[in-house]
Amino acid sequence: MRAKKYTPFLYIIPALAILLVFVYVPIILNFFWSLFQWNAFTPGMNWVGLDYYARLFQDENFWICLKNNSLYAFISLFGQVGFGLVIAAILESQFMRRYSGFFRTVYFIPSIMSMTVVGLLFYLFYNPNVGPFNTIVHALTGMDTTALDILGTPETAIFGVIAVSQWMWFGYMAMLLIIGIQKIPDELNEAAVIDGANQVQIFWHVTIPNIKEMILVDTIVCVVGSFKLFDEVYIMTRGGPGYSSEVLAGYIYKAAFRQDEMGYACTIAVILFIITFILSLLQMKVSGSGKE
Amino acid sequence: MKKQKMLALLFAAIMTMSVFAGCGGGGQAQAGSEGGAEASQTSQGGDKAASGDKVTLKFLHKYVAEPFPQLFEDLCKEYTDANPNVTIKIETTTDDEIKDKLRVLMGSGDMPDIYQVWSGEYTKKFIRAGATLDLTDYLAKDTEWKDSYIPAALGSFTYDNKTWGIPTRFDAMLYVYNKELFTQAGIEKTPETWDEFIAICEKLQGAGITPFSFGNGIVWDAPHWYGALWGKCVPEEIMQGQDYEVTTVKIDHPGYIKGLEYFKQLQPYFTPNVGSTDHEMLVQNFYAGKGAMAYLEMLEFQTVYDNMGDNFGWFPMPDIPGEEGDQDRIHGGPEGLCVSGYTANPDVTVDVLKHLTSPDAEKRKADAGHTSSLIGAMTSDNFCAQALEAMDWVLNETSGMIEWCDCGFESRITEVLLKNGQDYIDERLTAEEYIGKMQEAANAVRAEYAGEAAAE
Repeated sequence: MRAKKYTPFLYIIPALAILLVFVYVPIILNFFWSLFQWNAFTPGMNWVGLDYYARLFQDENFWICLKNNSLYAFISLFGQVGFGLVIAAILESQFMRRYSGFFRTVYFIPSIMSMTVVGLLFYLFYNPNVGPFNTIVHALTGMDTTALDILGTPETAIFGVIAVSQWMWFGYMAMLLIIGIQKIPDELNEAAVIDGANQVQIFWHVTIPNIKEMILVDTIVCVVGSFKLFDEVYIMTRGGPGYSSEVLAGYIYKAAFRQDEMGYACTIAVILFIITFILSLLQMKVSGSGKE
Repeated sequence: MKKQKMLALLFAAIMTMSVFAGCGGGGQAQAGSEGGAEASQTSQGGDKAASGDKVTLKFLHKYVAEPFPQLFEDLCKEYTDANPNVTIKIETTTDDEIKDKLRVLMGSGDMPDIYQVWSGEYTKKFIRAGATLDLTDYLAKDTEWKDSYIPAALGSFTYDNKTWGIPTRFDAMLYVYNKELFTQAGIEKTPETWDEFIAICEKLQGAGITPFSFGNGIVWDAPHWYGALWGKCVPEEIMQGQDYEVTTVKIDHPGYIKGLEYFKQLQPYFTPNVGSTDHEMLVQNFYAGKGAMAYLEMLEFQTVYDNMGDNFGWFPMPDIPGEEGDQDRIHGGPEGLCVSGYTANPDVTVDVLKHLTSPDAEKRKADAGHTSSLIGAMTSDNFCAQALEAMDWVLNETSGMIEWCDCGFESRITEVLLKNGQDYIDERLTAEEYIGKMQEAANAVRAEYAGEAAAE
């Protein structure tokens, strides 16, 4: 009996070891290393205490990165989760069921494409010299696009990157929500119809409450992903022009591997961890779910 | 039950061990961790692997465009065929990524035995960290090898009378111009002074021709321009003697602001949308005649010739009379190969390096398009007349080189230099503010390194 009690733990140990070695220990070490000045070229580590934290909060580039990540998160909640929810509801509705398979595939395909390919594709798409974007905008709106340079203008660069992410991921979010919608018992929808509810009312009062857990998953994935953003920015703008489209993960990379300030990079990483941790906790608390 | 428990234990052990199987590998001693400025290894005769001892070396280079990957593979294979106990593992990465990759490898203790560098502070930081082998004695013992290089190129890797790298590709920044467009605008002579330069730009614009094909999408194109302008406006002993050194850098000479202001004078003559035009695109725009001139590296001349034939000429950055910089210096510098200070077999590694940079190897690289630092490697058989003339002019008519500013300044200063360039171009920063940001970074660098020097 005693042997049976410990057997499950033996199966858990490898996963636990991986998590400890690759997740929890690095998090703790990262905090420790943020208290030192060091880089790949220095033989030792010089104690600086919390100096890097003080510097970080006075660093205007850090606030630009934080703003960009927050913007990404906010827009993605509507662009990926919100729009994905609407698409999921439409595809699972009675009249779209017949065609939903085709549309699910079409909307999902961008999320399985390589980020490098997508980034390069849209880098060229937006390029005012060779890309069709300006021509399309001019054709649709009549606007003079001579000076339009989405990725080359500080005010629009981050929005250009965010738009690409929405295109890439809304289908993925929709798929997750479709799974949740498909689990809703048909009787609930039928009962609502019998009670005289229209599609919008069914959506708000039946669908959404029953997929609350899946929406929570989507929002956590979306928000945490927003703060881990790196590939899209690196490929399309490298954080430029200047630092206008820089994000926290990109700033960590540059601090570590361009500026040779590993300690400062660790500091930014600690802050990033704290932000994503708090956001995840907040989301679970506010939604009152996360139990499933 | 006992069988089940044994199975569970076995699987748990296997999976736990597999977690650690991929770790490690960077077991070499970090010479720098033992402290001191002399951590870089000097030659250690006698530790060449005895014949029969297996030696495995790693070689990292950045020449990803064909035919160079294959050429380097062939060169390594020739060596390993002649020395079967030696294995050479080649890694390649891009020009931009190698800077990050070397830092990652440095941090993980997995430096390649032979790796690619640029001259200047870029190499010096590896020297300070003990990651570069002093080649002075090896070159002294093989004067034929040493004397085969252009002295200025070898000199670019010589610091404090010690040589730390072997120059490979030689390079400098020069203007190229479209002869047809110049003729169309009635321009018969290339500019020698700044005023003549502006006059030519005006004439081109008057003829409906955009003077410059320019782009700063990859952020180092603009610094190449003002690096050269700083060379014209800042005394050489200040720019390279003071500001390219981490213990004395200040960036406080007024010539830096002047250099940026000269650059600003040229902005009205650029092609549009410079923020999203990367280097490759600006070159294509030049081929397409969208700009009459472009500021390119000499190593690109052969490619320009392949696209434009003899329809292109060149000239250097014009003189700016009255400014304090050395008007006869050219912005540029060679790339090179260094041997790791941590290499387990210095003699074997240097032997491989000699093979990779031998006259035959350099000739083959020159035939493939490398602007070689080896004397006589570039001939009319493998290079266009423009490249040969430019090389001859750089070697014989200039007083020396001002190293690339993005490789000459310390990395934190370089990051400020690169990241704020676009803001300056878009007039979100004044020249004073731009230099002010570089000065802030310089002060931090100087304080850190001067503090370290005092501690020692």
